[in-house]
Amino acid sequence: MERRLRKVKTTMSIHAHRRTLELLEGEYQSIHHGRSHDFDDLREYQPGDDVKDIDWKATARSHVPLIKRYIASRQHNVLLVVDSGRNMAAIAESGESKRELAILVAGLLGYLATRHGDRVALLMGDEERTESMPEGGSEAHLERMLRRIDDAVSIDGPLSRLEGVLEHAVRRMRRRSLIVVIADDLAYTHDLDVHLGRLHTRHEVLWVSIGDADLMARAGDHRELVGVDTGLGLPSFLRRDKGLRRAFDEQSALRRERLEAGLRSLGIASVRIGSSATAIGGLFRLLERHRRARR
Amino acid sequence: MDVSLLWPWLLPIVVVAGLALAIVGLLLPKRRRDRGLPVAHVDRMTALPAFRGALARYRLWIGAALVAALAGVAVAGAVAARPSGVHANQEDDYKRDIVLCLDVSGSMVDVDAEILGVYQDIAASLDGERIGMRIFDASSVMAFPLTSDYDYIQEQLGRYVRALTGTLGPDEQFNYLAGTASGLGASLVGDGLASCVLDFADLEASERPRSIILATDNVVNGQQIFTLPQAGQLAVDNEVRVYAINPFDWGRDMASQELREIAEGTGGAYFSLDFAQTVPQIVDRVNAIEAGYIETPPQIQVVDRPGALPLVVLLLVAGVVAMAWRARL
Repeated sequence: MERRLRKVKTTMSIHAHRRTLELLEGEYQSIHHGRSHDFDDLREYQPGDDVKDIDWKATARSHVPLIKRYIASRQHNVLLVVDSGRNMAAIAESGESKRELAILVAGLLGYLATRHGDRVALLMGDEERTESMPEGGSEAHLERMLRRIDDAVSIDGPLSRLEGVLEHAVRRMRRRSLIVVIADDLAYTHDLDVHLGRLHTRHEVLWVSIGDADLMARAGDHRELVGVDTGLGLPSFLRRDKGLRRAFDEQSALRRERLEAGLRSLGIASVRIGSSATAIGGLFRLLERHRRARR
Repeated sequence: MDVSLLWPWLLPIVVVAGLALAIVGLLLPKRRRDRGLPVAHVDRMTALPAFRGALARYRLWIGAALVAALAGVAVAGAVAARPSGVHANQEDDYKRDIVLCLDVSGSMVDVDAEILGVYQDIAASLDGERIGMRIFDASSVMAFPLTSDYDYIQEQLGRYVRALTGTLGPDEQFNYLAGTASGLGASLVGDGLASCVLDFADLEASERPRSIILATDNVVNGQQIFTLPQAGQLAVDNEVRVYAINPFDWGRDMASQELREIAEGTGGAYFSLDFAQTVPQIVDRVNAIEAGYIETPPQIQVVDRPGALPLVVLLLVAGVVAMAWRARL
């Protein structure tokens, strides 16, 4: 049963034109550094591919631009680092479940990776546990991975603590990998900075923030919110307070800015995804940024 | 105004029930987790300095709404406990029956006119009392029966006053003496009084106090069917009080003495018309004596007197609703 992965694929085909998907694949393929000299084959150029890889002679012979592929560039390790804490069971900016969004993002990236022949591993954790899944290259493996995430994240689960998961990754991950951290709108702490910095020296790190829900009531939204970490309710009265809203808007913009600035200063490309509709576009931007940042 | 609670036990019940509901309402939100949408990183809001003020305002609204609701419950409980007062209703209009029994022999005409004049004045302000009138000489004639139609009474009394004083208009000429001369003799007081007593048509049925204003000099001239003592006994039997007015009381003459005894024997009174007493004064005194027989005990009623309390409840409920709306409870 490939329920979750099929959902990912469906989302891909719903939200993206074929062109965009190809673009996305091209972006993914071109984000890897290491090239060997073992030439593998030629394939048609896709937008996003590195221009350096174009085989000009072959291109001249045929009518379409062709790029060279090397064996070493075809086997990468991708590690998905996911927050499995209670925070992920909350709702996202769009009102969807953050868990669903995280699974979608993980599924999209994992699917791109497996299609590319890369091996995908999973590391997820929270305050109380750390779970990991070894690398695998099959769609079935990816499906199992997504199911693990789905099962692990629950509203009654442990509190989130991404720093610990990252620390674990720093200690355990020896093989050079492409690490994609799937987190949310958390505050950029010193610990986070330290662990990400150490992680980034050995690996390539990408950051995906699943956008958290707006805590203020806007445009007739009078529902009551409950904080998953404290269990405290946020009554509609507070959500409508104008002064509080102004302070909140300022503060949350500042918080997001701080996270982005911190990641940028480490050289980590990041993107914030608030809904499933913007997931593919967001990931495209993320890969693009990563490719640029590397140069 | 003396207000007491008719069901005082209801007030504590309502107040206790209200307090219990309030406590339950305060404790229940502890299980609110299922009620809202789960969101992460609430510290984005709760860590703000503005949050503390907003929370204080929120609690203030809820507290105010709670206080108003409890006050409303208390006042509603007070209303439910039926604040009531005692209302004593003293009916001071006496519903009695009066028959004016007038001797119309020649010597009595002036006195009769005066009595009628007084009753004409009184009739204007009567309510519920019935007045009838009978005149007699050798035989008696009913001028008008007991009635509470005061317009009619005044009209008839006025007509007789004018007839007795000889001031009838040209269109209303009538012989007021017609029918009073068919007996044997003149001024047959016993017969006259007896027929007046029998004028109380529903003698058995009515419990209204009965009185007769008897104007006569008690100078009997002829054969009576009823003697005056017999007529007096008839009045006593039928609980009729006779108030006699005698314009010609010469002190110790037999006729006056007899009239006094008869009148006082029925529970009524005797008045001699002299310089000390005028007809209006006598009528006032008759009415004063009669008032003593009017037994209308004050009606004690227990009346609900919630006063402005229901309005207060209404305002408090409106306040609670407004505050609950304001706080988006």
